[in-house]
Amino acid sequence: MKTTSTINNAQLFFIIFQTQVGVGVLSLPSSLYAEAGTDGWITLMITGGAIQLVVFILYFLSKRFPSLTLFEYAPKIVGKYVAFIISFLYVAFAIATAVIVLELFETTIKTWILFRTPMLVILLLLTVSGTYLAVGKIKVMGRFYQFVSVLIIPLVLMSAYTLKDADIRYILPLGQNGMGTIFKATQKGIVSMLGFEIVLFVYPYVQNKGKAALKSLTLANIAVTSLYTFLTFTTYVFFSPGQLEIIPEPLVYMLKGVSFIIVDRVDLLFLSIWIISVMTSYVSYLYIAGRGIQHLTKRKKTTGSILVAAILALIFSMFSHDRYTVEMLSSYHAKASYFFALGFPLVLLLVSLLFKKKEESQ
Amino acid sequence: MTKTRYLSIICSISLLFLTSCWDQELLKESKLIYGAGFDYENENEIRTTFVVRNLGVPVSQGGVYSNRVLSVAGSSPRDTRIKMDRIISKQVTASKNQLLLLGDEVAKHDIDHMFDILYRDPKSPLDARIGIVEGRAEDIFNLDHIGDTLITEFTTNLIKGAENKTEAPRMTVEKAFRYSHDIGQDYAFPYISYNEEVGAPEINGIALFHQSNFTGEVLPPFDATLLLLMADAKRKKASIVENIGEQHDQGFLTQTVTINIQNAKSDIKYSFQNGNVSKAVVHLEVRGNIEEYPQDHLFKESQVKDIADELSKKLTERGNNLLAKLQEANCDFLGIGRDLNAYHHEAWHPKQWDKEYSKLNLEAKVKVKISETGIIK
Repeated sequence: MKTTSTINNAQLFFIIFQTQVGVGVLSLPSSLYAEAGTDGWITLMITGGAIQLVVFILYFLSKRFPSLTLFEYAPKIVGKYVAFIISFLYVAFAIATAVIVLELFETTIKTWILFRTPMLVILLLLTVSGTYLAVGKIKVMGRFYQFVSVLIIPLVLMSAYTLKDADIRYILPLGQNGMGTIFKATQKGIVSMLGFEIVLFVYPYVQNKGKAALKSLTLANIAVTSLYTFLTFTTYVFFSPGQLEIIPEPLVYMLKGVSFIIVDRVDLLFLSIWIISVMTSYVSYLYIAGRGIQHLTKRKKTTGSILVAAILALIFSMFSHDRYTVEMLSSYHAKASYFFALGFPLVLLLVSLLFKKKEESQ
Repeated sequence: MTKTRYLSIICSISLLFLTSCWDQELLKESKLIYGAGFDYENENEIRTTFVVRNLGVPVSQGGVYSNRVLSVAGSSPRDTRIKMDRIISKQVTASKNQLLLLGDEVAKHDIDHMFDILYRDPKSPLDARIGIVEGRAEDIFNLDHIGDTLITEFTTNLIKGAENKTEAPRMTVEKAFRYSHDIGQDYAFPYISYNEEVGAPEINGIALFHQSNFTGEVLPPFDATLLLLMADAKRKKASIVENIGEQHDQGFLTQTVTINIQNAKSDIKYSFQNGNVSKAVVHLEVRGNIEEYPQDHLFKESQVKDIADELSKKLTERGNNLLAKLQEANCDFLGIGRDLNAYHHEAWHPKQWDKEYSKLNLEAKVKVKISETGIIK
């Protein structure tokens, strides 16, 4: 597919970074704590290493078909019919992810900021602005992601400020629950860092492919891992272990107690910035779903298919909404995501290696 | 053409949602709570006192600030809050509350039950100060004002002042949440009592807590300062007054020396026996300036050193007494349990810590150094 809209390596970095950073970050510390206790933050670093391996797989797969997206090269590897199923599943997965993002967004906003605002309005806030961004070209997305990434700095500064009340003794001794639990908890970490699979769909638009692209991917992974590790670490040294058991969103809770002369509720500020990170993840999945639908229905333009995906996601996200249903849904989604982030790409890579399937160079 | 249509539709839809009219809370339609107090009513009931600010004529137009003090009994803080809403004309908002007072009786019953409402509500003020009142919190709020100052501001500033002088730990709702859920560390709140002589509340030390209950033990302000220095929690200023010298009772007002602590360093050394902690020694080293010494003028360095040595001895004695008091109250204020967990993990038995702590051989060693004597010798 020929296209004039391309993204440079910095934009690739920010697309991966912003897709990965999203809803998960709020509940990550407590879900890691449930598995690995106060060593949860170490888990994240191991997770980063594990994700790097996956990134290599995705990179090698994309490198074999440098100007095609997964939807386009899947038929060349496994044939038309299997490829159709895989593409369809990817679309379903992307929409499901968008639904989960919407639901978690809605429940969080509802519990923390807007208590009385109707559900639909909150969902539409994200859907309308997100769809508008996704409809634009990939280059617009890349630029927007790059632009809003500046906002990560205040996020980090805010949580760094709480370190003045930190007690390092809460996380000592390191590894008190054994290495086994640290490794076992990696699966929790991986789920919250999902999003790197978007490389399968944006790789053809990257200007400098090859080593430079791999560098962007690796840097994005390092950035996300360090950001998550840092944020989780700050909550672990701030809250006593007994609290971490009962606070589902430690990051926000931690900032709720912070107040300056001008800003009384830092948590609201934090959430407002977090919303943007959520939106970028949402847009990325909407984009994947839209491109998939476009490919499956053999349309020329993406606009219609992205709208379809957005409306589908909106409808699904309007069902059941209490904390427990959302938790149950996300645990199913987490299991499925292994197939989409690792399973399918790995199979496709192996098959294409085995049968020496490769995009013919022109 | 289609593009403009899309854009205009999206824009107009967005505009609809930009107003956020569902969650607006106007100040003119709500009553702000400036102070809340809890008291023990009977086995199943709690009495809540709210201080609500009257916003009548603005001060700029010649009005004065005034409070309305209301008190209701109910089965839980939330219950009393709902009842309160029935007797106050506008929507009651607690999100700006800066002061929480607990009567000493109610503090002896699990404070977690009272604070649940604060921990759970996203709009609750986590940075509100907490004080324990000798007697009933209601009585303090009923004073209404001290001189020109309203009671809520007066008490809040009293607590903040004590914090700055290292006479009380900086305890907000957030900190109470943190420590009451931590088995390895206990805490204390400023203890406020009513001073008959001046007719106003005063800081009368700190109330020692164990887990989420008031132990009934109170440390006087002087001991509180020493304890806070041991916990490495010196704030802006810390002063120590002590009787010293052999001839200290000869003559009018010549008994004391006052030093102003510049910096303090505390370190706890542990010894172990059969996998248990057997002894803990708190080494406190303070460096200070002499603020008042009416007995003599200090011409020689040796004189200053003598004062420092004697102070060290006296403070060590005081330190040991206060640690004994802490152990009696079973209040692990210094977080020895936390230390054990973090640095001596094999000697940390969380389940037995309650019993182990009171039997622990806990000792204080205070060393005083004096560096300045003010602007005279």
